[in-house]
Amino acid sequence: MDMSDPLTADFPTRNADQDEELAALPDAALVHQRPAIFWSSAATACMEGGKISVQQLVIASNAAACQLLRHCCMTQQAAGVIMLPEQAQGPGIALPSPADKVCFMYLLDNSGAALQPTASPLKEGSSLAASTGRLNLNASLPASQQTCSLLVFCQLPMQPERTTIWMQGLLHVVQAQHVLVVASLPAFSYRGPGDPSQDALHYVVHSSAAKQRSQSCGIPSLPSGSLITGLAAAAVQYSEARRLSATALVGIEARPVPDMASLRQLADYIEKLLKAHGSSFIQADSLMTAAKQAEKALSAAASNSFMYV
Amino acid sequence: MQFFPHDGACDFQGATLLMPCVASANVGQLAVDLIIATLQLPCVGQLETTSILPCAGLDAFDHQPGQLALSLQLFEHHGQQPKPLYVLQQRAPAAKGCQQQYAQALAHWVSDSGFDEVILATSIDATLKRDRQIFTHSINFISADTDKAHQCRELGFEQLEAGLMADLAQQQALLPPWTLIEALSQQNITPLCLVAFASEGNNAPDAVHVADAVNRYLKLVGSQPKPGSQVADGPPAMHVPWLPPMSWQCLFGSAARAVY
Repeated sequence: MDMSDPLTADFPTRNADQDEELAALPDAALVHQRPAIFWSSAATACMEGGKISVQQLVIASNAAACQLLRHCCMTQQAAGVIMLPEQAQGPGIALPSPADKVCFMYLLDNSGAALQPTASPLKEGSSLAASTGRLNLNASLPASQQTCSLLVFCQLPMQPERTTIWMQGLLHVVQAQHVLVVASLPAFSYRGPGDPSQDALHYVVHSSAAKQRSQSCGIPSLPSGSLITGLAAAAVQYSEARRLSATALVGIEARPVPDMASLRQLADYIEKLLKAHGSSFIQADSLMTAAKQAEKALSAAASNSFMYV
Repeated sequence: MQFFPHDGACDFQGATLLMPCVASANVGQLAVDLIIATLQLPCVGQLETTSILPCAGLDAFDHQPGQLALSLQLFEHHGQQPKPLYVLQQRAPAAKGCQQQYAQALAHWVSDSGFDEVILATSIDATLKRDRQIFTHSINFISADTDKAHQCRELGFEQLEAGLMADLAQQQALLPPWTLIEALSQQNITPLCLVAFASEGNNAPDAVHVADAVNRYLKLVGSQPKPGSQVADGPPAMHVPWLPPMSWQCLFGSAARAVY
């Protein structure tokens, strides 16, 4: 019977570390495999040289951000999906559904409309076309593509080991003038002023290229001593190395369901950051409405950390 | 593994690289923090590899306000003689199952970059102390280079027993520092590993101990009389005034809040 010492329970022995390392060796190759990214035919038509250019890439990587931003895409069709390599190789993934736990992407212009205005007649004999509802875009769309934004809902809990390659895979095919990742930091990892159990605390971490524009938003920077991890850190690291503009907006998470004050602050900060970098596809009042709906939805789904868009 | 310099290319030919091994109690990383903060070393670039978990923060050091702190960052010590010194700080562990890959990638980068000497600062679990080490607080070293071994003995370091080293290298073969020592040796680089025995807890004193050892070997910072150590008929005790970085302010959590 294992009687772990309660004083040292948080610090596994080196022998335990060795055993874990040995057990993880067979799956280590997955850490270096890029995700599989599938685009709709409409989005594919926008690509040049295998890459899609957007003004802003917004990645929602926690439940609060997913709920808050989903109202922007409520009636839209996905522009693409990102799935881990083992999911893409799985059986029967011809058309992913929310149950497949993949990350959906949506292209929006600055008015908040999806870049999929009309549906073209389906080609005869095309079963895939019959199931996806292939769309056409206007010929002038590639020119205006620079003013559109890509929303990515990363709504599955991702292993920390996979976040670097996931972000590299996405940023390899998406050229964005600015990347915004909305994420969480657990309260026990937070080192700084304020009480996360009482106050709504959100902070930003910028890459050097994003600092000048983002500082005008008045959002406090992450205090010294705290470290963010996961997709937010991967985005900042990747962007800093390549002198790209990226911002991580991090909420200090003290409870499983954020309260209204936290959601309001998150909505406010998202709107400010998007506006600072030239996007206006989210309006403040609609975000506040979304915040109220998000609070209800999150409270109802408290046992499930993620909502599927 | 790829190196991204901040301003222009860096020339590592013939330089010394000091880096921590992420092992028990993170003593190596804390010691490197002290060295960077005290010497106010500028960051010259970052290393990127998928084998290391990503992390990001701000304001790790007082002399770099507003600067990002990332998983693997390289700092430069200007004017270090006779060889230039670069200090690599690692703030995140390797991904599970990737320790050997990380070590090999790092060793390849070190070899390709032309570093002449590699110094590893690390710690070993204090429960592994042998009888003669229980009442001592000395720094141990691991090096296959006889000249470096002699130099370390002259400085008062003790060589880690061959038996203990062999046992640990076998039992913890997939963990640092053994992965790094092995990978560097495969690239014909004989690292010097400075080791302190430490237990998990408040490891700041252990970090000072390792930083002192690195300083004695590399002669980075001059010693000063320790305040309050003056005695009537003897010289004052000397110590290196290490500056803890501002990121250490809440090392054990944020300040306690009033309950009532």
